[in-house]
Amino acid sequence: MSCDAIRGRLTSGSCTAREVSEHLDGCDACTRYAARIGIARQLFREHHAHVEPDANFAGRVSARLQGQPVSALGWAAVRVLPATCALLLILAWLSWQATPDPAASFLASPTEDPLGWVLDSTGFGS
Amino acid sequence: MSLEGSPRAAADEGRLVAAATGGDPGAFSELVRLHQRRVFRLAGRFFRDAQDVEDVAQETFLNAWRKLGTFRARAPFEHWLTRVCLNCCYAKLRRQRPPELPLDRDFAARRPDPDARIEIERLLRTLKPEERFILLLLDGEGWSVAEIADRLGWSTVNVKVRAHRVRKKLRRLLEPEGT
Repeated sequence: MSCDAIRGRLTSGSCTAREVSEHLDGCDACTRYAARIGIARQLFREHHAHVEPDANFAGRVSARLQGQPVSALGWAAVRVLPATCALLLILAWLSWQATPDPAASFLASPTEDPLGWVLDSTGFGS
Repeated sequence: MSLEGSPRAAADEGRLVAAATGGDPGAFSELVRLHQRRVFRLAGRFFRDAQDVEDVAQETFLNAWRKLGTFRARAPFEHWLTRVCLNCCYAKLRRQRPPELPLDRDFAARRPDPDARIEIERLLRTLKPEERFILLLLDGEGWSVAEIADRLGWSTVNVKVRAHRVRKKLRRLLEPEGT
């Protein structure tokens, strides 16, 4: 296995001990790299604050919660928002459909003469 | 301390979650007490300063309170809280530029080859906070790509790409010169 391949595997931690030892036996550069990546990995493993919560932690959280809004109602509103928007759109569309179109009313008039139609409908001229 | 493990305990926790979701701060405080050690342990992975850990832990529970309505009982509360905590840690790390000192100098000095450790610490400090975040989950917590994706709510591809990039960068940093 090439140096490039073995270093890739060392970096991802996906190589077996046998693969590594066979290669490292004859490669100083990869041996140095393996040592360095090993140190890095160990530093990440050991990187921890080891802090424990004290007895008053929950109390401090509670104190900060004072004044915080109750979450349930807010999130319920967010969850129904799409449905609310859809409903509003449908209502708007229905309202638009129900509104008489002035042009359509004009075309639907009994005569081509608007004035004549008015006169007809009110009984004038008969 | 966790309620996980027994059906009765899980049912008790379910009742606490339901009450807290309904706005009961007392029930939520009980949830804080049950999960605070786990949250501190996870936050401690990313921050060395005790105050930072405390801040992230508080932020985690405050966010949990605000977002309780999004919790679905299909998964354990603990998993959901882990996600909230990880997101708080990630957000705090991203705000910290330049990155906080991540590794322990004293620890390095106590080891047989302190020079190598100190040099590697220096190199690791050049990683971006979000890069260290992924490496701490992979190498620190020992989680797989799939586990990280699941716990963060990120896609597997997203985590895989980030892991690949950061490992590539790590290799570039650590490869001895001229090899």
